[in-house]
Amino acid sequence: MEDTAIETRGLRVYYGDFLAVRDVDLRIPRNRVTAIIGPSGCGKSTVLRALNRMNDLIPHVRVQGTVLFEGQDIYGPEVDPVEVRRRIGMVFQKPNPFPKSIYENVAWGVRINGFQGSRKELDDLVEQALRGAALWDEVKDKLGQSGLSLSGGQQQRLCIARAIAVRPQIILMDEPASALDPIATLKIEELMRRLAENYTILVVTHNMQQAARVSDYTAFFTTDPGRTGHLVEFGPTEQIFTNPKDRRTEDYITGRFG
Amino acid sequence: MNRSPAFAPNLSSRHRKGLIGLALFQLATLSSVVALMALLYTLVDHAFGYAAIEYQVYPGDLGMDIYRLDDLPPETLAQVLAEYLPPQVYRSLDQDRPLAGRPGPELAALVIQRVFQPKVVRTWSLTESLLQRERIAAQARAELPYAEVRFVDWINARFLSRPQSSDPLRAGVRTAILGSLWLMAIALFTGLPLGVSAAIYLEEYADRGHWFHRLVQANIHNLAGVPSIIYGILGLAVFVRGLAPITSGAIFGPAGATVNGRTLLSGGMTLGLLVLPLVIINTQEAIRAVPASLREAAYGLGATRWQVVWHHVLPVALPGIMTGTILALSRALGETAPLVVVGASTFITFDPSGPFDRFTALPIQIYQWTARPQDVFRNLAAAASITLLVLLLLLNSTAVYIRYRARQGR
Repeated sequence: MEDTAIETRGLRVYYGDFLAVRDVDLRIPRNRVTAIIGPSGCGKSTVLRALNRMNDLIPHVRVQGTVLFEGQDIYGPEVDPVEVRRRIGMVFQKPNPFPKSIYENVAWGVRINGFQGSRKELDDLVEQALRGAALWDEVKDKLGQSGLSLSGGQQQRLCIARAIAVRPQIILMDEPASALDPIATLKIEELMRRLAENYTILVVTHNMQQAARVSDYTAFFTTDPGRTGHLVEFGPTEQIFTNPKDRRTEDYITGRFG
Repeated sequence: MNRSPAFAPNLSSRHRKGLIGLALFQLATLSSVVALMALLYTLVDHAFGYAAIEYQVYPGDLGMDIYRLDDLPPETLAQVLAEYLPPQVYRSLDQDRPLAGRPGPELAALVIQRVFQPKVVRTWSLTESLLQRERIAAQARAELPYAEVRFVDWINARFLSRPQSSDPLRAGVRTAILGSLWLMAIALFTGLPLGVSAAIYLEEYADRGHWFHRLVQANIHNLAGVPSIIYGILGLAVFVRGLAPITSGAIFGPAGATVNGRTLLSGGMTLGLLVLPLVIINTQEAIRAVPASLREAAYGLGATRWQVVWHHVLPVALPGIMTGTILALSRALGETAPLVVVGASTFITFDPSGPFDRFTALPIQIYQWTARPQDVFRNLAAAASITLLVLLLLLNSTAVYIRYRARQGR
């Protein structure tokens, strides 16, 4: 097994009394793209949001178990969720740029995290982040325009630029291309491959072809009657798609259900 | 058409019911429009029209126009005073301060008060004035042979710029307008920060499932419906009586300590309390309308709750907060009952100059004029009502404009 970026042990997430994710043990390899697939309502997104404590913001959510990141449980008492979220960034399903200029969209996260460099250094950082998200050439002449003036695919890449500008180690992507057209989707997928050189990418997707195209590893979650949100199988993407060990995985990827 | 036996052929009766409903809705709309028109008509009808005025000395006899006296040289006015005033009155006035040295407007006022002594003996409505001019003229000739009949606009620049007076021809609403503006400003400065802060706490920080939060929330909605006179009683007990040393300005030195706690500050803070629940509710709604995706984006970058609120939630909610606050203030602008209880003065001729002054306000002024026995004050009340309505309209259109601008920016 490869070097681990983040690991869950016995992860359980409750919405009130409802157990949405049960007993998940998962080791996410560093600098790889890992896809999480599974039918609707199987807890994919909930697992993802448990990894940077975004679930804390939703009332009545309880998390049990441990999530080890850099040798530390991110749910430990001395850990500040604000710091966790800077180091484990997130890109959402619907592009959600701030109603500010393109430049400010990228610079804001840097600034609020206590950036102390000069204006020039900030400019460089913004350019780097936009280049990193393959957006620089399209927006370099209009950095002052509103982020909302961009197309959907560009907006999503702006959100990725915004996420990498604060130098996270892991980027969580919650169906990042599901609201985009096929061409914009392809650009995001290429970007994910490139980002994996420097970051660990976790992507939740409904689209099995996307998972097969883009990921190195795949985790399959499902929901059986009375048993929601459990991990069925985890392994190299090629193995999951060509030679699944579990019959439920096979049924799902061959399109027999889900 | 294929008609299946399971469905009764009732289409025409369904349409007929729809038409009856539509007719009712149109009737309801029409009646509200008629009611509004009637209101406007009554106000305008009283704010303009012929008035019969009797004088002790007729300005026309001296070749003067009572409304143009300020244009005349002071010497002419002093001469009129010397000629028409009883000698001993003239001497005592002159001994007070030499009449020759006094400014023109002051002399003009003296000429009107002491020499012309105009008195409005009868007024006619605008409708009568327009449609029955001959009848009015005949009536005036027969019943009021000594009166001058002239067309008076009770609302005009003079009315807006003059202080209160017991002489209806000289009374104005400047004191009341200034009082109302002071009250609005004080209400804004107390209600807005308190209301916005409370709304931010309730929306962004408090645990919404907690029983205490639910209790507070329910009570804010109840408070928004509490009759305004109750707020007046609260203001009387807390601000006028309880905090009298502060609201009278006594602790800030003797300069403001001429009155008790019945000051602009007490009135304004009472109105601030009155608008507080409205500001909280409107702000909460504006904050709730900020998309959750925006908050998530900011939290996802490692922002603290305060950074999310200050940098993203408040700027996006700001137009909504401003609109809601202005609408709440426009309710306070029309409030009369709490100000009566808190102790607005009905007759004040000097402008308020600070928060520790006694005050009157437009609705108070209107109320006081309608309560007077002389008919002519009804015309002044109508003119003041129009002033109040125009102020309200200005406030509300500001709110509409802010909302429009916010939509454009999106």
